[in-house]
Amino acid sequence: MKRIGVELDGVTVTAVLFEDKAPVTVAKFWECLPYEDRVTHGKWSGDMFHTNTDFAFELDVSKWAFGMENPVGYQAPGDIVFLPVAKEIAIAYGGARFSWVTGPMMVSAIGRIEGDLTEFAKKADRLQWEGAKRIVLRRL
Amino acid sequence: MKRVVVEFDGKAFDAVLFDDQAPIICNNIWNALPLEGPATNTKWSGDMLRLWVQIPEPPERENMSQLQNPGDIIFLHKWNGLRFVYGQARMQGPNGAHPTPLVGRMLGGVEELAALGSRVEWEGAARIRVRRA
Repeated sequence: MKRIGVELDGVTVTAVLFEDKAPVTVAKFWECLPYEDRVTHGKWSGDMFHTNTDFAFELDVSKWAFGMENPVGYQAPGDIVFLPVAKEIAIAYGGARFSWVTGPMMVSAIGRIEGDLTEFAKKADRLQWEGAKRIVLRRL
Repeated sequence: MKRVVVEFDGKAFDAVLFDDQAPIICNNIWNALPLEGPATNTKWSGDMLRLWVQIPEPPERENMSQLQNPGDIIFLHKWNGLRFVYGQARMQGPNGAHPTPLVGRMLGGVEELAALGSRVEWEGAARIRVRRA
C-alpha cells in the first residue's frame, strides 16, 4: 500500500493512498512526488485547504461516473481529495465539505491521513489567519 | 441612512448603514463605532471578509437577506462581527445558507476590497477600521 508524508509548515503526518479505489489517479499522483507548493485555506469548504500549483498529469475521465475515480460527496477530517478539473488536491482537517460557488462538488478521494491529526489541524487552521504555508508531499 | 467610512490599506471608502431597514442592529453598530480589528476570509461563504469585532448583540433579526452582492455589509447573530462581500459569495455554513441581516453597503472600493481579500488569502489577516463619516 502506498504511503506519503504530508509536511505542512513543519508538521508531518502520514497518509495512505487509495490504490484500490482510485488506481489510475493515485498512480499519476505518485509520479508527481515529491511535490512542493504553498497551500491556502479554502473559502467555500469549511475546514479544508488546497494546493495552488497544478498536478501536471492528464486523466481520461470519460470512463468514470462524475468524471473521476472514487467520487465522494462528503469528507472526514484527514481525507485527501483530488479535483480533476482544477488539478488540485484539498485536505480536510475538521468539519468540511468540498464546495465551490454553486455548492458542494464531487471530488475524487485518493487518500487519508492516518493517526493523530491534532497538531496538523492546528497548523491548517492558522492558514486562515496567517496566509499561505509551505506543503511538501513525499513518498514513504 | 447613516454614513460611515471603511478604512484599510491606507485608503478610505464611503459606506452607508441601512438604519431605515435594520434600525436596531445599525444603531448598535453606530454606537460601537469606531470598530477596528483583523479581517480574514470566511471558511464557507466565498468572497467575503469577516471583520473580527464585537458588536452588542441585537435582540432581533432585521432586513434579512438570502443572497449577497458585492459591496454588501452583513451582520450575523451569535457569530457577530461584520462581513464585507467582495465577489461571488453567499453567507453559509456546513448546514447550508443562512439568511442574514443586510446592514449596509459600500459606496465604492469593492475592487480594492477584492484585492484585500486575495491578499489576505495569501498573506494573512489584515486590519479594517470602520468609523462614522
